[in-house]
Amino acid sequence: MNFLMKMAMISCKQAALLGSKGSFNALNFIERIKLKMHVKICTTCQDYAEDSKLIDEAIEKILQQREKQQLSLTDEQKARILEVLK
Amino acid sequence: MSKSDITNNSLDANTVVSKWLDTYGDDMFSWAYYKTSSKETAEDLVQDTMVSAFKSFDKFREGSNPKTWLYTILNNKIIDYYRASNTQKSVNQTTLQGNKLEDDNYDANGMWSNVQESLWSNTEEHLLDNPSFLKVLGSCIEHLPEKWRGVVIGKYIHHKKGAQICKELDITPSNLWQMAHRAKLQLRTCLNQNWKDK
Repeated sequence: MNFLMKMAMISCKQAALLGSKGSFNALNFIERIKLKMHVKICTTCQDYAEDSKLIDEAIEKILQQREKQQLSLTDEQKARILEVLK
Repeated sequence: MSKSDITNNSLDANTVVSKWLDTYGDDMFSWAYYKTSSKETAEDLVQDTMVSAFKSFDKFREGSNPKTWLYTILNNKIIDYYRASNTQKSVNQTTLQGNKLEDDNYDANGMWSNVQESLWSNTEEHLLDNPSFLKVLGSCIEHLPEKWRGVVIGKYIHHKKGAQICKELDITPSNLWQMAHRAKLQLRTCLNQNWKDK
């Protein structure tokens, strides 16, 4: 138990940073356990993790939509772009 | 129009570049917007690309694909845009903003000091299917410092491959993890402040 307690003794700020590192699949074994232990006992970090996941999914959705979206330059924008070539 | 007709004739180079803008401008604008999340920036980048194309028009080889050539220039402009924020002044500014953001959210022991209401707690509907939620988030992304925005977009485009993003933005892995963390904090705060219907 002592060992487990020690593993969980990271701050919420450290946990969030580990979470960020983990989102690039860059955590080592010990870091992964530390993060898991902390989140298990910290409800605020559980909320943050949920929000974080939601934001990631929403960003993914936005960028997926944009990838397919075709924008058009207005005539005004085109004129502005060509202005500097004169 | 063949290139031999127009070499060393700036008026005609102008005509060709204008024609290219008509043909490829919308696609380039869409691509630049996808990569930067800012329409204003996207327009500037298309303009910079056209200026470069005009200036180095004599390097364009007859018979090669103008679209490929223009996109090479545009992609370099996008990299330059993100790297321009590597200047000391900009780095300092972003670091200050990041430190303040962390100070606002954590106490001296690194515990949450400003506990924000969870985004999904008061809502039955699925926020991912809510266009106005996505719109607010889109605008929050647009207002991130350039580097953080580059991290957020790069993470999607490069499928979370950190090394690729670090290379493109010219940052270290620790920078990347910290910027992604700070961007997330900022986006959550921005949503909490601007997403009224939750």
